[in-house]
Amino acid sequence: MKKISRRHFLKLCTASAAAVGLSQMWIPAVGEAFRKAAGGNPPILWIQGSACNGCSTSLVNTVHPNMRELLTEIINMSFHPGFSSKAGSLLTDQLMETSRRNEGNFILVVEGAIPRAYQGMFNIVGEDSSGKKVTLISLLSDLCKRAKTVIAVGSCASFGGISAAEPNDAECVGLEKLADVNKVVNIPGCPPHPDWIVGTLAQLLLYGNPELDDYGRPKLFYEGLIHNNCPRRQYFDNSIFAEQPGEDGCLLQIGCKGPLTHGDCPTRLWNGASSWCVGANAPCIGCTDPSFPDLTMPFYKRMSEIEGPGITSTADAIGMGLGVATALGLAAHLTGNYLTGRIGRKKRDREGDI
Amino acid sequence: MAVVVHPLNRGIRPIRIELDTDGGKVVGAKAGTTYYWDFANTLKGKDPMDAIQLTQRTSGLDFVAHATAIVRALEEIAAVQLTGIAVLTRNVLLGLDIVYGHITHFYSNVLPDYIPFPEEGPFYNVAGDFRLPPGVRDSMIKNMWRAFEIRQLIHNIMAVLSGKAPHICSVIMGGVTRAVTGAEIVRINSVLKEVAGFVNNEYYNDLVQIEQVYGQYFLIGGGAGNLLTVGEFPRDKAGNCLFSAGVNFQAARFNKKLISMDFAGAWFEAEGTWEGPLAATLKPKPDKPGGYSWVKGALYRNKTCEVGPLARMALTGNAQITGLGKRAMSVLGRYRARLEECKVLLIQITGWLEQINPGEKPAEHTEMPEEGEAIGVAEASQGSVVHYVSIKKGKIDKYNVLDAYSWNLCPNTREGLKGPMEQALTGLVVTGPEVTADVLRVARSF
Repeated sequence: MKKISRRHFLKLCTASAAAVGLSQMWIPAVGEAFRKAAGGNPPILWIQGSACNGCSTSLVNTVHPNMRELLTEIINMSFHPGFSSKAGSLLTDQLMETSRRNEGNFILVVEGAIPRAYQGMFNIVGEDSSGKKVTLISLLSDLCKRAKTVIAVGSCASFGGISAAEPNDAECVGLEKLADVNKVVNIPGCPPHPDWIVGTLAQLLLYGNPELDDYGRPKLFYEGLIHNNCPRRQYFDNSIFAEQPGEDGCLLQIGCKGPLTHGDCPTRLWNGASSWCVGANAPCIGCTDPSFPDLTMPFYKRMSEIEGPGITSTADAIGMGLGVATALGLAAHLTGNYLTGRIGRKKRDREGDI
Repeated sequence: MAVVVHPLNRGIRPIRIELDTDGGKVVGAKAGTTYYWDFANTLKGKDPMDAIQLTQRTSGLDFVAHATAIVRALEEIAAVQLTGIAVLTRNVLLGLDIVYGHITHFYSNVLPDYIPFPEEGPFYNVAGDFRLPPGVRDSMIKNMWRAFEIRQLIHNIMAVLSGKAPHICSVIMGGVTRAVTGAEIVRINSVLKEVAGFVNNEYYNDLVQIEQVYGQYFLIGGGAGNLLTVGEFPRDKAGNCLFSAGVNFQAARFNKKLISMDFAGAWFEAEGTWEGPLAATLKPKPDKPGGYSWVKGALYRNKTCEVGPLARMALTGNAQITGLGKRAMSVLGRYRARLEECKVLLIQITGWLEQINPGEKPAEHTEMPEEGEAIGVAEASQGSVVHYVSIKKGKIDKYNVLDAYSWNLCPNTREGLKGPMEQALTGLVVTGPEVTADVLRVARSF
C-alpha cells in the first residue's frame, strides 16, 4: 500500500464530511500508513486536569477509526487515567517513570484547565509512593518540559474555558501559561469533535506539526468561520431571522455566536454526522473560541455588537470586527489572561514537511 | 494504620480514599474528590438560561440530567406546562444518557478490576485476584471494545434529538428546540435494537460470569442502606413518574424541600446568611481545617442517603433486585441494578418514541420571570441531581448543584454522619499497607 501524500491527507481531512467523520480518508490508506509506523510512534501520555471528562467521552465517539483501532493500531497511548487498572501511587509512579524514560520523545495530551490558586491546591492529582501530594500544576510543569509536543484537548486546556470563567476562584489557566508556547497545539471545543482530536494526532504522527492559526488551533479543522459555512447563511444575507428556536431563519437574534466562532461543525457535523447545534435549531454557543464562555454568554441573547436586520456589512467583516471587540472586552475582563500567550508573539510555520 | 488510595481513577472524577485500619479491618474511611469543580459562583449574575448549558459541564457523563434539573427549576418558576412531545423527547434523551452511563460504568470502571489486560498499551493491572477462566476473559475484552462502539451509537441517536453529545443544546425552557421526525424515529429504533441486543446478551452474560465466580461481593460493600430517589421519567401531566420519588426510611411523601446541604467536611465556607437549606453562597477554602473533599454534601431529613440505580430499582420494586433480598445492598447488587435499569429503560424508550406526535409543538415560549426561586431535580446514571436557583432582577442570585457525589460521597457532616461510600468501605479486611482488590471494587461499585 502506498503511503498517502501529505497533500492528499490534508485534502481528505478538510473535505466536507457528507459521509462519516474521518471515514473517507481512513479506509484504507491512512490505516495502512499507521500500521506501518506503529511500533515507532511516540508514546502519548493523557492527563486529566480540572474538567468534566467530556473531552474523553467525546474521543470515544470516534467512528473511523473506532476506539479499538485507535488504541491498538494507531496511537501508542501509554497512559490515560480512564484506561488504567492501576490506582493510587502505582498510577502516579507509572506516569513519572514513563515520562522520564521517554524524555523529549512523548506527546503530552492534557484535558482540563490548570488551577494556580493556593499553590495548586485546587487540584491534587494523587500521591506518589513516598506519600507526597502531587498537584496538577507541579505534575504538568514537569511533564511539559519533558514532552516533545503538548496537545491541549478542549477549551479548558486550551484557554481556560469554563474552568476559568469569572470569578475563576481557582485561578485556572490553559496550558500555554505553563508550557513553551511553541510546543502547544490547541484543540478547543466543549467538547472538541473526536475527528479534531484523532485528525490532529494523525497529522502529527504521519506528517509532523500541523499548521496553526493565531490561537494555536490546527487550521485543518478551525480555519473556517461557522457563520460562513452555515446552511442558514442565506437567511442572514436576506435578513430573515428566527425569533424563537424552531423557526426558519438565521439564529443570530436568539444568540448564535457563529459569526465569531471558528470550526468545521456545519460541514463535518457531530456524532456520526447526525446533527450539530444549529441543526437542532439551537444557537452556536461559541465553544471553540478563546472568549468562551465569559464573552459568549448570555448564550441565548443576541451578541450586542451586531446590528439588527438590515445589516449591510459582510459576515467576514462582522467576524473580524467581533474579534477585535472580543479582544478588547477580554483585556478588560481578564486582564489579558490568555491573549498574551500567543497573539503578537513570533509567528512561525510549524508545518512539518515531507 | 492509614491506607491511602489516591487517585481512584476511571470514574468521571478521581477520588481520594483514606482508610483507618485496626487489627486488619477498616474502622473508618474518608472518601472525597481532590479537585474543585463548581460553577455556582460563575453563575451569579448570569442570565438564568445560561445555567442550562453551563451546568451540563458538571459531568461529561450525566450532562442530560443537569440540563433537565435546571430547566425544570426554571419552568417551575415560570409555571410553564410542557407539551407531550417535549416531555417524551426529554425522557428519551435522559433514558439514553442513563443507559450510556451504565454501559460505561460496567465496561470502563468495573471490568478492569476483574480481568488482566495485556501489559502493552494503556492498560495496567492491579495485582491479583483474577479468577475468571481465560476464555471468558478473552470474550470480555472483545465485549469491552464493542462497548465503545455501542456508546458511540447511543450518542449518535441522542445527537439526532439534541444536536450533539456530550453536552446537548436542544433542551430549553418550555420544551425542546425541535420535533423529531418519523424518519428519525425509524433510525433511532434501529440503533435501539442493536443496543438492546448488546445489553441482553454481552452485558448480561459478562455480569453473570462475574456474579458466579465472585459471589462474595453479594455480601460486602453494602453501607448503611438509606436509599433515595428524587423520581424520574414523568408519564402524565399530574407529575406521576415511571420511578416514583421516595426513600426507604420514611413512609411520608417525598418532599424535595427537605433536601439540605452540609459541607462540614468539605473545603467550602459559607458567605453571608442562608435563606434556606440550599440557598447559601459557598466560597472555596482549600486550607479549611477538617476539610478533605471538594464535594458539597447532600442530606435528606438530615440523613445521608445512597442514590443511583440500586436506590431507584430497590425503591420502585424491580423484581430482579427485590428478589435478591438483603444481598441487593452490595457490590454485585449495584452492578445488577444498572443492568436491570438498562433493560427497563430500553423498553420504555421505544414506547416513548411510539407515543410521540411529531406534529405537536416542541416548546411553549414563555418569558422568564424577574424574581423567583426553585429546586429542580432529575435522576442521572450515577444518581440524583439537585439544582437550587434563585433569581433576582432577571439574573441568577444564588445557585447550588448537588449530584450523585454529594450523596454517595457526602463528606463528614456537622453531626458526624458518614456518607454511603465511606460506610460501605468500613469493615473491609485490609491486612497490609497495600490496597486490596476489595477496596477498589467496593469504591467503584457506586
